[in-house]
Amino acid sequence: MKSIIFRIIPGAVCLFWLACGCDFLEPKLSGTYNDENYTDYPQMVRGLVEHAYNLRPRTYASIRFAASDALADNAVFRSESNANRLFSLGSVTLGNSPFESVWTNNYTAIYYCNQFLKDDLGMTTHYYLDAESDNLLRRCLQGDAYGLRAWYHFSLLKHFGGKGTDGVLYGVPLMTEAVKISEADPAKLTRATFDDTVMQILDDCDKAYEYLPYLNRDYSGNTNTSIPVTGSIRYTTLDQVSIDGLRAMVYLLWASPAFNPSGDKTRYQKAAEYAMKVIRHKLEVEGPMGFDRTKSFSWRDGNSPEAIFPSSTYSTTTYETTFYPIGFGGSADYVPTQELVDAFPMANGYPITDARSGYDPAHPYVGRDSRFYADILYNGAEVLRDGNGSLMYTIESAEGGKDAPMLTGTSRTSYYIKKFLYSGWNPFDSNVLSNVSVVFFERWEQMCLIFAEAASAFLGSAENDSFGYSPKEVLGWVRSRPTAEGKPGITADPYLDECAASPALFQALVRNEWRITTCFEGTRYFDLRRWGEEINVPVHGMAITPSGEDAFSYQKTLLETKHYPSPWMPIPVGDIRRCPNLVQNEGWENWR
Amino acid sequence: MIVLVVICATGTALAAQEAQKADSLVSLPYNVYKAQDQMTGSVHSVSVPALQKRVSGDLRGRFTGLVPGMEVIENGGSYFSSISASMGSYTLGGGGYTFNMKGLGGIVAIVDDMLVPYNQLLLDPNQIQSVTILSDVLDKSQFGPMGTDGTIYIRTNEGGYNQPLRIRTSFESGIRVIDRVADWLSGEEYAVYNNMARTAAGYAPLYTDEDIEGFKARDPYSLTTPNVDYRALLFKKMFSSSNLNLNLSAGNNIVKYAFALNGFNSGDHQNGPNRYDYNKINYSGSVSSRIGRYIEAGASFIGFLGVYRGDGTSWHSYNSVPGIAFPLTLSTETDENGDQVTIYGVSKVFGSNPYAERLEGGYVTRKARSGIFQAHLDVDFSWFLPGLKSRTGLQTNSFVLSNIGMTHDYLAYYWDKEQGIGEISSHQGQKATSRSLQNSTVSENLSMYERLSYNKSFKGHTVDLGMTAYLNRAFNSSETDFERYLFFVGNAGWSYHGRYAVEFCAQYTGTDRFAKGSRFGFFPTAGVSWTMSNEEFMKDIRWIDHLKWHAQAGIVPQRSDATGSHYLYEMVYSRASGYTFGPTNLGAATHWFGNTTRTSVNTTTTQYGNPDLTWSSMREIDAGVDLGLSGGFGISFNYFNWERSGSIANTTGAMPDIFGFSDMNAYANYTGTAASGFNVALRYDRRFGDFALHASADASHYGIIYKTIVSDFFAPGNEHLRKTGTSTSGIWGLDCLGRYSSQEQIDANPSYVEKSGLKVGDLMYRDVNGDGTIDANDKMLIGDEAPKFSYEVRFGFEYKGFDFEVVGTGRTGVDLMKNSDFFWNGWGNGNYSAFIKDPMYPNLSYVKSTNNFVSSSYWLERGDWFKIQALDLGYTFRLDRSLKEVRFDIKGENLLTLTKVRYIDPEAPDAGVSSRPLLRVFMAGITLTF
Repeated sequence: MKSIIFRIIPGAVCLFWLACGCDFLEPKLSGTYNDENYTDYPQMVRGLVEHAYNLRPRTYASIRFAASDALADNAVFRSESNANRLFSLGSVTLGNSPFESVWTNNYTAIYYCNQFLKDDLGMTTHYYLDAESDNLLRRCLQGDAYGLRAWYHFSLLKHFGGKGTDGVLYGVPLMTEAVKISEADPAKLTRATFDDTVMQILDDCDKAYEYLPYLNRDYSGNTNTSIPVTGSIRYTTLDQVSIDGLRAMVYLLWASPAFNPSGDKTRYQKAAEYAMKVIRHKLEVEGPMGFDRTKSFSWRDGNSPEAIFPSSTYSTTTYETTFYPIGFGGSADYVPTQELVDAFPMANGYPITDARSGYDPAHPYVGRDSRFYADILYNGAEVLRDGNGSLMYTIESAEGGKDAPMLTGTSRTSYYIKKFLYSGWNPFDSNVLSNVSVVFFERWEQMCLIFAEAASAFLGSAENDSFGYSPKEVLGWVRSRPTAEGKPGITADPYLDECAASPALFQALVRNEWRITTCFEGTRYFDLRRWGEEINVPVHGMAITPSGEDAFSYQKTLLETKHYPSPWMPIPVGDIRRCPNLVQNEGWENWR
Repeated sequence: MIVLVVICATGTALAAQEAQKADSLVSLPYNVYKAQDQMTGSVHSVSVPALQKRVSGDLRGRFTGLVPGMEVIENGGSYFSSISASMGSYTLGGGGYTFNMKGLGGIVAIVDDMLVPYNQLLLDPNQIQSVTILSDVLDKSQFGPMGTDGTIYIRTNEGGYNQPLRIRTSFESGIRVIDRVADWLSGEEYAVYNNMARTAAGYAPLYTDEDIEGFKARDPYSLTTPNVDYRALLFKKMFSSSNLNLNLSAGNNIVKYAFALNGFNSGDHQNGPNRYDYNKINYSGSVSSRIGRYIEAGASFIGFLGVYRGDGTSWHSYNSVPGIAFPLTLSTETDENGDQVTIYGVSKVFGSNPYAERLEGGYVTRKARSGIFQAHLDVDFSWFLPGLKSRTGLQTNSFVLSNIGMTHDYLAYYWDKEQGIGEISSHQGQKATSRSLQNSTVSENLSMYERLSYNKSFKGHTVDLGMTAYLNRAFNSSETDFERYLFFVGNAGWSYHGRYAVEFCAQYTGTDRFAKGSRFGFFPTAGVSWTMSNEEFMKDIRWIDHLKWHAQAGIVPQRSDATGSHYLYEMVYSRASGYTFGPTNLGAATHWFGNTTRTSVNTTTTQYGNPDLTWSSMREIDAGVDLGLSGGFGISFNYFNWERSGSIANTTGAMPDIFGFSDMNAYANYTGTAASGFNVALRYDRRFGDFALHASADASHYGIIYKTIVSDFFAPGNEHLRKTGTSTSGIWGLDCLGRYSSQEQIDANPSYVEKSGLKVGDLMYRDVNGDGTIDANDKMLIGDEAPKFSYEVRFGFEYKGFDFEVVGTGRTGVDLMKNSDFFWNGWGNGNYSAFIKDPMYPNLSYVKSTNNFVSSSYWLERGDWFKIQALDLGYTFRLDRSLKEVRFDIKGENLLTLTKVRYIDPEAPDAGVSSRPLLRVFMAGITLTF
């Protein structure tokens, strides 16, 4: 008996092990989407494109937009050890460039567009039983993928295009295919020339235009069917109008002196044509729907009629906590310069340097253009609550004041950014409110400025209305527009008339309008570069000293002088190291 | 080969049969005991009495200095970390202790043949029967993939057959004193240095001379010039702790059993209204019984319960607030219920009041429970084939950690120098949250094994054959799948007359981490030894007692492969909700163009699957010699060389961002490292009448280099930045040439930052690549965090009833990078450290100098140290009654540090800066043995 038991035990043990060994190591099904199954889910396929959309930024309060003005002469970084400030002063840490995240982010987005376009995945996926809606959505998504690929390549071109160390005017590497990681060969990556990059972007624009619906709004011409596929459900994504806007931006960049060595005027013509197409659309199609060029708009309205191509929205207090001084719950991360303040004209439209302007250096904040009051907080400016107008805070940036320069968390210039701020926010409320943040990638005033710049350059005249409207008229719309606060713009504008008579004066005026109308929107740094203007300039703040009751004396103080080795941004050093055939931009020879 | 220590050989019936030399027996897996002469590896046994003479609350700490070649580094003074260590992780987290042997840190603890995570290794020495340290490749291979980095093999106490009842009880109590703590400036000093920093950067000073005079009064409640010493207020300098142990063991002819109970109580250095303490109870019981002639069955249970009571504040939270930032409290008010409410001060720059957080921030109670149950069944098949045995084992263990607490806000107003009390701050004093479960973790583990062994001796030959199958399944609450691995180990050994020994061991190991077809790997090892002193021709050489040459070589899998992430071989797409497309509903939105919206979908490729992923391997060669001389001297030398290849790594870093893979993972068998080193150990053991002396010393050296590494690409001219072929513990930085002595020098040399930003006294660097600028491409290998040598010394004697032992450990040739908050501070506002008064501190400036505060040789210091880690002095009364022995002792831990490093502790550079300081312990105890 005993011996039988003893013979059975080892045998049973062996059998047990054999039985366990078979599937003991088989993991539970992971339940994740994988190569075999993900294309079975139309939402997953669609999500490739939508993810590419969602990689767009959503706030101006970042280095992509407002903070990039501090790379140029519109603003300075408050913290003297801010890495981007040091970058702008030549004390750069290798590999630490402001727009590195743009590079990574945009190429990631392009990968997902390409993944969607690969093997006609989007066009062979069925989303709806209803054939018409199904077809419509397929076309929309296909257009989105091409359009976004153009959009992200354009953003890369704007940030990283420039003259290479070998003297060639380069764009960026063009990615038109989703590469398999096992087949990815870094040695094959090269930068396309600037012109080739533009051609690729325009080519993608053409394809996108072919597929996309005309307008992402519910409007009378919308061919939407029973299932909402187009119309307002697509708002914040691309449509034919925003592709035209993108084309205008691409052509303007390409036409600009820095990137147009041959001086090809037809690029200006194209820019003006596309900008005018959008302008006409705004006036003629959206006009009856609710767009009014003489009305003000709010920066915190995600549905603003001002928008042509807006970002997604979210509710935030980032602007307030970034722009206000520490005394009002902010950190004043970047602050306007005296140069920007001086660029705002007087309310009568004359620049402060003009004798007719009535500018009084002893009272520099009196009688200025209403945009100045809407965009800048200066010594004595009051922060009033949204709605009831009650006084929440007064800026005291004169010497001895709580917001005076060089204290902890206060501006170095004595100015603070007011643009974008939500005046319902108060850090001392028991329930601190927040408001929506939206970025207008394309907007009405921007199209007007593109047209004014491009058309006047092409035509050589600001008063020629061969595009339908004259550059002068369109620029006038911008100058006379009421501000976000509802204050009237420059209504009687003799200075505009004066400038319109001289192409050179008009170009200078347009450039100044770009500077003040789109301040903190992330244009100044890029505009200076495309115009070929000097970016290594000194910037100033204002030292304000009390001199008796409510009287102050003003002294401009030099804060810093920007110092870049070249107008171009460095290509991220990690990729330069990994790709033996990638050419670095001029001035950044050591970044490798 | 190390024969220094006597094994605590209580009741090893099987051992007795196999023993050739009782003092050279080694406990091996699956209840195997082998004589040293039959083994081909360098094994080391640790004596339990040696562990008992230590005071550390964590068993790991007690190993300090006891094992040649095994370094035990203390990372921080919190011995509570052992209960909050991450679950399911078989290696150590931050804090607590780190082991290092042959450059390998993943040393595991195997208790009674089963892997026990360190968070459950809360044994007291009196629960332990024997400890064996295995570090050579064949010896480690017996544990499958688990022991690859080295193994601490523990057998718990199980009593002995026919053993009279033994009872041992001990009590000890003492104090724990805070050791080195980095100092921060007092309030008035801070004001002076902050003014200096501001002046240097062109800012107006913030504090007037009257202010500074006012701060000197050190009145924490002053509404004009407050000055608080937060450290004195919030932390004690010392606290008490004590422990009580009881263990008993006995056995008759059929049953043997053992029982142990340990209690530990300790205070905490936090000061405040809550209870701050740590209590643990540890208990174990074991019973084994013979069933008939051929069967033995046994079971044991080890339980643990730990409770920590305190609050959620951290050691360093006070460092960031200067003492003069605001008064502790501003006033008290009566609220609507008639209760007194304290209004605390904060400022706009410093928004939190550490004192208020301690007083009103709530509390936390952390409880850990652990239970390990083991059972085994031994069957002797000698009736079938003499020498054939079977052992079947099972272990299940569970660990539960719960963290219950309450966080509370306090009422604080901004302090205003003029008005005293300003606006209300964001601390609005809500009774913020109710009590809640803040964190809980559960892990459980099940292991089973079956081993058949055959042992036969004839005509001087000894043959051992063994076959083991082992499977393990683990689960913890942070994972969504079970962890599983299984392995089969076959080993064979032959020895002849205690002279020659040959061993083979091979494992066939599988894990659920790889795709089918890649799951299993085969790893063979072999070893040989020659005990020359047992040869006939050596018999006449009197002065040599013992001489043995030994070597092992082979390939083993890497344990980390079995504990990494699942499904790395699969392509993974994930889906998440994205932003809303369509008009927004937020804010004052106008729906002028429709209102249909859609929540978008984000489809991302999170992982690029690699179906070929498989075990990475470690090839290792160990060789050594052990020499014992007749006078009590001994010396041993051990050399090792290993190379790991194909370690699993995320390789997207090797791909340019342009491809768009940057937010994906793509794992491959990629990284390779290689190491070699040696350990040399000396010992002296001698008895002169009543006086017995023992002394030992050993030193280890090793170096590890990268063989292949992800993302090691550099353009021509910058190849010096490549890490391949360099030390894995290398410190990279700029080569500092000293400090600028003149403006001319600044103008004449390439600089790291724009020259206008440099002053005399700033740091000057070398243009390593000679391209005319100094940037990150001029970094080079400036030092090494790993020591050239780590060493241990031990000395002790016994004289009549007295016994004494002292243990010291140290490191030499180690570089310390001084870049913690303590060294790199002194700009902006926020407390400054005492280091800014040091002449080595570069120019003080309110604006952080990016030139000076970068990794460079300037901040490098030789971090050599030697510590008296433990000391024990005891006296034993030997009595001839039922009470056999009474021993009194005094002991200490971490008693003395010899180092040139100032301010911080070189063994644990973050201790006292960002983590809790190390503790110096003094204890007195009594032990009764019945």
